[in-house]
Amino acid sequence: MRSTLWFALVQRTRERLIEPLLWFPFPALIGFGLVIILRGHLLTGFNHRLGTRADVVHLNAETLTAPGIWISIYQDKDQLVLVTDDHNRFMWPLGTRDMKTLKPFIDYLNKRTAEAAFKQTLSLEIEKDRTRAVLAVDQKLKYIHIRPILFALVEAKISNYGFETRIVN
Amino acid sequence: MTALTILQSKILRTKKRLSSNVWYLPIIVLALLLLMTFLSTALRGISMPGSFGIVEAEFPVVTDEKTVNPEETWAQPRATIDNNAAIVILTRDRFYFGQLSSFGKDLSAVHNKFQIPHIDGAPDLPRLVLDLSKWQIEAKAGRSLVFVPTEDIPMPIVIQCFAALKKSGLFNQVILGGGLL
Repeated sequence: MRSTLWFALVQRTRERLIEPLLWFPFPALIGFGLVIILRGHLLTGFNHRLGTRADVVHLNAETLTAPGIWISIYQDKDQLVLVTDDHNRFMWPLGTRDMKTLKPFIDYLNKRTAEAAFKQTLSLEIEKDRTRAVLAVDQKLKYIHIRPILFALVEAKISNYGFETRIVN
Repeated sequence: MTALTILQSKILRTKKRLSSNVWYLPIIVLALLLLMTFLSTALRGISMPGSFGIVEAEFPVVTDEKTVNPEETWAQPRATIDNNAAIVILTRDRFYFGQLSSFGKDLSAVHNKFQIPHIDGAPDLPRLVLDLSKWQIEAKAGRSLVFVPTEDIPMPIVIQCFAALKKSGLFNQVILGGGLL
């Protein structure tokens, strides 16, 4: 019985493989799958705003052309969550006044500014926007939550920063 | 081989091909992928706007007074904030404004400070800008402004007030203060 089933399976496979399948769908499926993945659902570098919960304020302002050091800021329970454009994640308690909790974030900012400075040195061009910190602040947050981040920017010697807004036409 | 035999053979092959269920799964999967593509495109189009803006801010940076060598004597320190600079404080119920010196000493004195209450809880920005423009001329205030919201002010209001003060054109430099008070 077992050998009969096996033989039937081999026969079916043989027939299927002998038959010319003019429309073979699997390459097309792989293509569609890749398109969906590459459009940003999994590839994090495609759109840095994906995966963050920051709902920024609606305000007509100067158009944001270069994001620079983009930081999304939102609240998750009693924690303040920061997600950067290269998907680094930092967390600390809301309303913290302890600068020690900010140290990993300050180290990260120092690293980013050093990288930007190195690239600018190599390209012999100075772009102000490259070292600009863009804060995408969630609308639910208050000023007390943002103040430690401003202190961290000062510690990292980033003098140029801005708040991201959503332009409504 | 006669035409009938060829036809019968073709019919048999077609029957076999059509009776096989290997076709159905790919078609279903492909249809689902097409549907997912369409839905994800539509949802992303609705949820993500095409353009974002920025309200620019800065921390004041001054050059060091220390001269390293004779070639660098041209680097004079740049005074960005002094006692003549304006300060606007945003609280839950009103704006306070005046010169920085008036908030640095004699905090209880009322003759050198001004206030603009909010209207129904919303900051009265047009009146603030109007009064600031009049006051700036009379008090000969500096062209730098320090904007200090209190801790409990929601960030959308902070950003909108900050943007309005920058847009007013009354000041060369608007600085978001962190802990002056």
